Amino acid sequence: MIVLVIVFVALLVLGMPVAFSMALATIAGFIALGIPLETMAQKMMSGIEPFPFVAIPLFVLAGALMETSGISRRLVGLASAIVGHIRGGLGIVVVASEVLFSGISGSSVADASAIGSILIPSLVKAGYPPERAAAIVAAASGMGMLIPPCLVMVILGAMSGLSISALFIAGFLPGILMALTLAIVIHIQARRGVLPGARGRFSWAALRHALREAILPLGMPVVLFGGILGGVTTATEAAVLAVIYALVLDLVIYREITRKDLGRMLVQTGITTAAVSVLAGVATGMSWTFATTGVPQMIANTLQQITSSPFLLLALVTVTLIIFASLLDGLPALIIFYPILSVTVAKYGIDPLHFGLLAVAALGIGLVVPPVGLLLVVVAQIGRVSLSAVTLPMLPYIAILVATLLVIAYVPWVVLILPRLLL
Amino acid sequence: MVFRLTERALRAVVAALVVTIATMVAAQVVFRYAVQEPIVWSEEFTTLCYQWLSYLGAALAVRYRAHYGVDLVVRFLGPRWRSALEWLEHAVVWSLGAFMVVYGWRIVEASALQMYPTLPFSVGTGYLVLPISGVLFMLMDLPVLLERRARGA
Repeated sequence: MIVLVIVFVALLVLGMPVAFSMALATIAGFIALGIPLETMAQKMMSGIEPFPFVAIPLFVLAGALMETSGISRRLVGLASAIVGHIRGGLGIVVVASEVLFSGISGSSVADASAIGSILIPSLVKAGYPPERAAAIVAAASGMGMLIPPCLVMVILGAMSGLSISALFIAGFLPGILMALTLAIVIHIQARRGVLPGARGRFSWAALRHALREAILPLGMPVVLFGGILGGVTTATEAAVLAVIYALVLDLVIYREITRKDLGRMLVQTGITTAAVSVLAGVATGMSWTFATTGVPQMIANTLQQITSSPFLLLALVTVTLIIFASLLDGLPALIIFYPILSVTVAKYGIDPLHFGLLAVAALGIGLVVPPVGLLLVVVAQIGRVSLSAVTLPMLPYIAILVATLLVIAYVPWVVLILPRLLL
Repeated sequence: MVFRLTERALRAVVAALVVTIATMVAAQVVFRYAVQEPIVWSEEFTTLCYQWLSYLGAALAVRYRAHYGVDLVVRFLGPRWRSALEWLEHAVVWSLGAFMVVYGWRIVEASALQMYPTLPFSVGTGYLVLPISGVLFMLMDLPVLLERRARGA
């Protein structure tokens, strides 16, 4: 067991791919424990056998189609026509854009670089100091993790057996809460002159135009969530309907996707899916090794000796997840730690859906926590500002993210009410 | 030449698998709700396509270095260390590739007689993706290695 952990950490620190490090570490652990290695090969396949995993490529493809066909762009256009004229409007548009399409491509880093490279320059052009522009984009990306459809939730569901639909629905309320508070803080900062307060003009003509442009793209969220919320389709089926909707929209009306684009998109979808899935498959082998050697039980028992209060436990677990997400990227952190921690959490009688969503929120924060948060590093690079410069402007947003996290942790009905009402 | 051909073939297969998965799930919806007669084998077949997609796609991810990694420490290292670590990465990829070939093949043999409940072939056939991808991991790692050498690293 110790062999496994040492090999894994060593390879990881040396910058080896996470999935490969995990696989080789597990193999080393098997050898040390005398478990036949065929078991590992078998786990690599059986780990990704549950049907919900199939949702991964479909959501990735839907995201790519939204991006390439201009559906995302038109939705952002609508958002800026609605809120762009408020003080701090452009910052709020960033938040709205993240609400609309973050988290679907699977890599939060890819999302942040896609969104950041478009929005940071336009924020800077509007007079935002680059480090504040970068901070807003990073904070909004961290928040975007909570808002469905989010690939981390898809994978969490596939892995843990929690319903993906339930996770999506559970994310709505806290996600929107987080988005609203972020928007309000940006607005206040703009009023106080911390951010440029220049207001665009509101014009009905522009809004009408944006609405006309966005009316068909708005069908995308309707297709995606209509079926899930109505309990008619599974998340997997909803994803494929969204893919079809986007394709038809593009074939009939927009015609923005060339055949070459389509080919590239399909291959990219395959690669993204593969990177995530191999990680999940290999992690099954590792979690299984932990489980057979009683590690999750041991951790659970140790924690139970430290505290019997679920209150403290949630804090402890959340902080752990935040730390590892900031070091490892969200998805690997979740895939490694969720199976271990869920055993503990169950012993304290905490609802698995509640914990699942809390974990997702913790990942979102871990990714943007200065000074190591992976996503923050990327965004700072895009904005060409140093990490230390972006740290201070980041603090108020981190405070909001953490406040929302506390609400999610200690007011579980915020998470649980919608799934209970709707499913 | 061999590498380019393999890469292109692999890209085509990966794209085709994505299309197949989407089509199968769509067909499943249609058959369940419109025709009211679910396709019995669709779920198992789609899952299998997904598993193949995952490991074949992972070979492409080896080619493009698209696997998740953490460069927290590596960022602060000098060029000599980095070059050493690149060699280590090749070794890591090859080790896992070799493992998948040898032990993947063993589970292919071990489950050669076990049939999928709804598909007309054995679970062993499904597991073939492991040894195949193992070979492809190594094959797709080579061009990366050659490119590095060409750069003089």
